[in-house]
Amino acid sequence: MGLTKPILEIHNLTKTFVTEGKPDFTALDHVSFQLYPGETLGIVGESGSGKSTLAKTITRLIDSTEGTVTLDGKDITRVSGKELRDVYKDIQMVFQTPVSSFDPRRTLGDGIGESLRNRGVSKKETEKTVLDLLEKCGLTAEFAGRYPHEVSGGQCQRAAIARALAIQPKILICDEATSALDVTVQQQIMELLKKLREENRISYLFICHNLGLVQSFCDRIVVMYEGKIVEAGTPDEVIMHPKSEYAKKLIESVF
Amino acid sequence: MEELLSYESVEICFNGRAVTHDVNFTLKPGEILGIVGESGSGKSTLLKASMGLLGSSGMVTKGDIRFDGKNLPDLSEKEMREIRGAKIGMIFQDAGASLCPIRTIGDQIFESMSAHGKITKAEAKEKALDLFEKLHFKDGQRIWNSYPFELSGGMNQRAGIAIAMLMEPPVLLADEPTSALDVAVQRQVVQEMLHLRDMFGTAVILVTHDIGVVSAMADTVLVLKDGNVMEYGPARQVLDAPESEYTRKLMAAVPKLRRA
Repeated sequence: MGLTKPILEIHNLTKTFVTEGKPDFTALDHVSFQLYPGETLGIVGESGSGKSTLAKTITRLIDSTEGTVTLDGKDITRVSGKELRDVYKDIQMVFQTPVSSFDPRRTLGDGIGESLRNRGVSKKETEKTVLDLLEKCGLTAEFAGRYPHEVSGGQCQRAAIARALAIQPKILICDEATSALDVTVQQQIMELLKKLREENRISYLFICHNLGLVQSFCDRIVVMYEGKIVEAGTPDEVIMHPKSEYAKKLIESVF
Repeated sequence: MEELLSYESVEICFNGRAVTHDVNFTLKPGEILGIVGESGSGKSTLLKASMGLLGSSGMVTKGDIRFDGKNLPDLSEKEMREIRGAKIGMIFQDAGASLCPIRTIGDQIFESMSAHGKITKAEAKEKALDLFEKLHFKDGQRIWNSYPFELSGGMNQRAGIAIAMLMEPPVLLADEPTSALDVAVQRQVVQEMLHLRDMFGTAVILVTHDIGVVSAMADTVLVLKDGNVMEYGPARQVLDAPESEYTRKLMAAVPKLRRA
């Protein structure tokens, strides 16, 4: 990818949690990587290795202690207000538990269209786009009127993906987006993500502890352990020929 | 070998609606039976039925669950209490949550052992530490003195399994015992359960959606979909050469790791 510029560049990103009466805890320790347009980067590692902290720091849901996040050439590490809201035009997230990522008192259609209404898109236009998005994600129009508790986990995750796509982001961060789903539903969601990648040239940051899934979906993988990147490379390099002790152990543990 | 536990045409209803239909299987001493299927297929319900844990809205409406010459759904709560824990043990997805948060592991072990017979705390502790050692727990004394929140999720789960095994029940029901754990800890827990089977000859019913764990542990496999048995037979046959269309679909959906 020599000449292409990265869409997202993370440099020395560090997050230290400071709690009174407890030793400081560094959840993210000088993490650096680049994500290129249309690329899928997998992030693997055990619970507590800092995967989710990384996602939250990039999306500014929590603030980093040190380091920079550069989105499409613009430093977004400390932006706020309108500039921060503009970041979410380019980066969207899909979370592990779809049902709890929707407001329980509002319909799925409401949630999917929210980002559009916030951008001043007319009500009529929003409604039309929501139906298009639902269809794209394999749901019928009637789902727009349903509440999160009225649909299955898989259907709700499709709606969450529709919501993330509404604003046509350049980057989609999936934080264990299929981990709570059955394998058959997981397979359907992966098909959907693959289809979207081909059609829209979206870049994915795919956080997942399932190595088999990462191997079949990602262009590159980084392995995290105790807040640090311990190994990076193509799936074949990392999984077939792991160099670090930790990656070796992780791969050996898979049934 | 004689059958230890058998389900014969079992139908279970919640509020009058059947959630499992005509389920048949048997469990021999020392056998590990894996029950797989999607969420909502009725896996956990089947386990709860033999523990008498279906609650007020659920009941076995057809068929028998035979154990030790008795039909479990016919037993009174008092009779069930003799069986639960002592004859049929159970472990859950999140042992940390099924333990009492404000009492130490040691206190809870002593309580569960005294419920089934006269035992002093010192005897209970000796037995527990002995089992902890057999399972290679690093610091059994510390675990005995710990509250659940002082242990990691994986350690809680391993302690939960040890507690269930202290009564040496002939049957252990394991409901998603590894699903909440990281792969490395998962492997450890699976090895410990196999080790326990070898030590005590315990028969295990393992309910999980993780086909990898089933393939590493189970002797026989039952595939459940919407409360119906899709396939039941020796593990290798069901997993490697499935006959039912649904099992094939399920196996094809499992992401497999290619490695060197």
